[in-house]
Amino acid sequence: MQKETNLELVRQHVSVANGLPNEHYIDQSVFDEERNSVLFNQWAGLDVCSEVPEIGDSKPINFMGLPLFIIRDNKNIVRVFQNTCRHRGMILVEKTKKIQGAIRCPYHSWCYSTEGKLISTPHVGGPGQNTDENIDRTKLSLVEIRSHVWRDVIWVNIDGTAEPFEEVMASTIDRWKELDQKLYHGGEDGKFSLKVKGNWKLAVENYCESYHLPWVHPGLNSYSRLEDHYHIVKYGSHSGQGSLVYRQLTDDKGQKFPDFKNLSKKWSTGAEYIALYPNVLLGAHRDHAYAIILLPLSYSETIENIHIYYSQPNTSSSLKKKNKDQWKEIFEEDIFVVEGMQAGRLGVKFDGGRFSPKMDEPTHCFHDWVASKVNDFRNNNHQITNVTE
Amino acid sequence: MSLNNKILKAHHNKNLSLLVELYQEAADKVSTRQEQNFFRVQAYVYALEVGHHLTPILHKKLVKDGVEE
Repeated sequence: MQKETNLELVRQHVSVANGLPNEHYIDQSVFDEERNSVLFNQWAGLDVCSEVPEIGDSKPINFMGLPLFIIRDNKNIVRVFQNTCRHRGMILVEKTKKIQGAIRCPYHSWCYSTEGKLISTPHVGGPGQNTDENIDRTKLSLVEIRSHVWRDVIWVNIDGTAEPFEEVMASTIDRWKELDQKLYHGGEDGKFSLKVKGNWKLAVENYCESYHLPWVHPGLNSYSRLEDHYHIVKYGSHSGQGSLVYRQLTDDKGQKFPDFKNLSKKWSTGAEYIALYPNVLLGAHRDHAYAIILLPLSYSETIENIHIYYSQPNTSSSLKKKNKDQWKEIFEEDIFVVEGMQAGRLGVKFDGGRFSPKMDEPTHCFHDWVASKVNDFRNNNHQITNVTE
Repeated sequence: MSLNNKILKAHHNKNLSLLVELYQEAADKVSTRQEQNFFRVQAYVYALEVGHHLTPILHKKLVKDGVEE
């Protein structure tokens, strides 16, 4: 049965607001409601284009129970499809692979082009007869999921109702317009995944604020102190933190990563870390960037897929590895707080928590966004499609 | 090895390009139009899957015979 949580206190000013109620972290029905109200009807991060670098590359992804696959089509466009044959509902792409010609369903061999068009229906009209008057191929293309690519991230709007990506994300795109440059994925030295026993929102919340740095990241805090950070808060859109003291990584020979071109002075020692709601965490620096895509597995489990990017294609492999290891150590330091907050929400008398008006505004900004989207969904009397049962 | 066994072995080895050739060979060995089309469809499907260079030729034949669009 659907629980309808009370979100009035969440939407108050940060100085008096409470955080999201426990049910938003530990209740299956609220998880299902959020899937529809804050993920499927918004622009959510799914994966990155670098995972399908060549024409024909395809990869299946289960997104909150929804079977999808991404593919780089024959025209070099990355597309997202529901991973379900239009004939008998068979899964089409079971593992990451290169589609050399057509996508052939392994069951009855209905074939689709990489653009999703149904191109052959073998024996559909009887042995040796590939046509039937009742089978109109033009109406049986694969179900394509609305998608958009920005900063290599593949964003999807599952239910197709969101406003255009550029409009929804306009303030973030504008904030980082000088960083809108070609990104080169770090390859195997530029990606890793973490599995966290925590609700996906807790990873967002932890990312939003710098308040925890002195205690959770003491090594980082030795040069990047709390007072060297500033809040990034855009209600209704995104939040995060900025640093004024970014220090470039160097290898044993004093080599650094090459910078992105024509950046303003702010980026000489500046860095910004933005949670782009609902589920993408972005980091930007003068010489590298990253994207973390949060894939919720259940209300209490999340996969964090991290991808690191550089301004040039052939940067030092050892330096990339050093950078990857450094970020991995920092993100791993955060796991115990995400898992600890998840466990803490089993405390039935926890009221969502009080925010520090000075330090927690970026976190409240996210809670406020979630609450507003859930409220909008409820007010529009949307039906919840439960795909997990 | 019989053609049937060659086809089974190619399926087992997932050698799709070989299946294109073997099913074409099978099509050439049967007498009725329906049997020919059956095997030619098999060849065509695997040709589609692997992006085989014979795909357009097979397609043309099937269209000519009125069994493909």
